[in-house]
Amino acid sequence: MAAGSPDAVRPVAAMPAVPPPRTGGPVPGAAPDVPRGDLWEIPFAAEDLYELRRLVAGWAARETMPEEAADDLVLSVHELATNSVRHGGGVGMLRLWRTVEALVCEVQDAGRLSDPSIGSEQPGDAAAESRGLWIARQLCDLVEIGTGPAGTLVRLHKRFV
Amino acid sequence: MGATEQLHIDLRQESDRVIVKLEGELDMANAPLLQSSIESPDLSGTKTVVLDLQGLTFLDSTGLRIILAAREQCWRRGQEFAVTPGSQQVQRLLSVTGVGEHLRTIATADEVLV
Repeated sequence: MAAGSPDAVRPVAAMPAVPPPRTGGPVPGAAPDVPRGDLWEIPFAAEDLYELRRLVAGWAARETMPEEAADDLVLSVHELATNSVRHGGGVGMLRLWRTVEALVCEVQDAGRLSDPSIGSEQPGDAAAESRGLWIARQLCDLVEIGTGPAGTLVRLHKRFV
Repeated sequence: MGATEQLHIDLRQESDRVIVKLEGELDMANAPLLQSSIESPDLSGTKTVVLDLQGLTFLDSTGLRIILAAREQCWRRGQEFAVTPGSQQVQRLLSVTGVGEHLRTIATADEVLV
């Protein structure tokens, strides 16, 4: 749950395009396509959502995230990617990296959120409700949102414990 | 992998109900498949519509929206609407969205509604 971690809303310009440098290089024997400690960039479109879920699930498993936490992260990333496909110009960019205590997933697209606090209140049970960001806010430890003329960037943090 | 390979929808009629059995993953890509199944005339003549989610391994907010739209459509036709519990992921989604407590849930698709 997001309890204890207030959602941060910052302009895109204030968010670094790449994560801060970290100590230590790739772990020997780690999967070559997911170098630990490095930034991983995956462009996506509507037809890629299924593969995107597999990819995030596989990455989280290799990073030894517990299964239930990994499921939460997969759904959250999927919801953000779906928003990009539907509202953000049809395509987006997913970036993945890990820190010592969390997996971080960032979704960027060309859309602009009219209200960055969207998804802060629990939706009702009418079909028409939007639930994507509410779901991400519930399932991740921290959700950062930046939006402006340059586009929208949402960053999810899911802690290992 | 195409959207149609990720989701299998099976409609079968049993006494007072139509059971719509979903297997696989329901997301934005294949939600229209469920949408068109729900609109099938086969669904309109029975007392009850049951959405059997037992074989559903993944559900997202778009799929949930279609499920709720199906429920609203059944209610408009005067039909009962119920679901069976899905996988852990499905139940988690229903729980965090708060929708689970508003959905009539039965243990198995042929359970009698009272």
